[in-house]
Amino acid sequence: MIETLVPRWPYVCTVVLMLVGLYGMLGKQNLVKKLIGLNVFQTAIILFFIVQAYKTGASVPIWDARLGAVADAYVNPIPHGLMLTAIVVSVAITGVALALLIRIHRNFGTLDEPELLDAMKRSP
Amino acid sequence: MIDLLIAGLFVFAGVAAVVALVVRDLLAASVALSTFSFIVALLYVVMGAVDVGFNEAVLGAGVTGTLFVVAIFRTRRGSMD
Amino acid sequence: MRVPTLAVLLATLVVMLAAAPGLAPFGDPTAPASGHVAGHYLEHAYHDAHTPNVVTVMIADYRSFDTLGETMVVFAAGLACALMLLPRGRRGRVPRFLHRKVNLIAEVIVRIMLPAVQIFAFYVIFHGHYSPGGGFQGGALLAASILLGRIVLGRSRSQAAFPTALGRPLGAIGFAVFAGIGLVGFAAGGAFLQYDRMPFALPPDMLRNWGILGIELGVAMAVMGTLVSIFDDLSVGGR
Repeated sequence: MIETLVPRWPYVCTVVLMLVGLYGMLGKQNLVKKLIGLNVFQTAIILFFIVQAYKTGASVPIWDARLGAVADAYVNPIPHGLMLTAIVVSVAITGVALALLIRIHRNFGTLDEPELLDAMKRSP
Repeated sequence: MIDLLIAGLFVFAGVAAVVALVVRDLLAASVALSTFSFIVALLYVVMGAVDVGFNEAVLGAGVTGTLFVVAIFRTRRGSMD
Repeated sequence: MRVPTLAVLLATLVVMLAAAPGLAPFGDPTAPASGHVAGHYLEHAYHDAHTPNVVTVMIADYRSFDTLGETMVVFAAGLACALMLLPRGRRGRVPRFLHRKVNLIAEVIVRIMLPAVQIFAFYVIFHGHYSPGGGFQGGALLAASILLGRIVLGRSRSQAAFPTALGRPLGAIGFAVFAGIGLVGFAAGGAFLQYDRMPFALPPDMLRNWGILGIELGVAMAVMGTLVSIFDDLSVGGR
């Protein structure tokens, strides 16, 4: 088990970051902390794809006349394109989530989960 | 050599993410999140994803941090945990 | 940490580590993800579109429909923020941290920095063919310059530079530019977003080059307008 994980060690680091993000989403009681956990989780997923695209000894995916049009001389560009979309979508999600948080605070006066549940039970 | 750099950046990113989740002051947490974004942008560039690293540096460390600060100013600065 | 949370985290860790040996080793050039279509894009991008940056060619030419959908997602997020934070009654009051007398040092530095950031943003948009960059990065840099102005330069000067009412229409115009360039190829007999059928007198790879530049400008406008409108809604809206 360990000898199959050692040549894949960046994936293990990415899994650890994902777990930090999951802990933030599940184990924290402040809504802003949950949003920070969501951001960390999304970043860990994007990192996972970028780690998959890496080739040892290859150059960045910008065509260079000295390297020619050889596919093995450049890093795989498809995950880069997909992750550009993912980063912009994560910023959009963060913006909408912060708007929701401002509305929640305006209605109930708090952003901590136990107080929030009490306030929701008291108000109709 | 590059493996050492990648490992070091992963350690820094993990520490920044844990700090962002543990501190009780939400403004400090959003600054730690911006730091995490910037270290991860460095990690993307080291792995050859220069476009993605540029995007993460501008959007993650810049715009997301600013939006968090604005939202924290309009709600509450401290958190219970 | 409560027990259910710990159980979920441990279960996730075990499942992911058990699945990890199915991946190719780190840095392997013969990984299955790096064959087939990726090789085709790397070998044909410069010949097809006369653009060295393969990632820009991929997101703006080969997979431009995905980019159109992403621009739509960003604009929809801006609309969602606006709907949740509509100003009630009179036009929203500006919060105090945007009104108060600003620090002289910060103001002087920002007044020097802002034009430099904006020129760099335009460089990033136009040079995205040859270096890392493109529409998303440049549009986000332009939005960041406007946000910096809003925070440091105070309300009157920042609104004179970029009024709040300009944000969302600029986002919509950017999206329309993107879709419009796609429709030009469609009207001339090709597919939607096929640039080499546009009716201009240039060789096909230069037509694709200019088509990529056009949609990158549209994307930059959409991202800039939407990010500034999200910031304005979060800071002022809903009072």
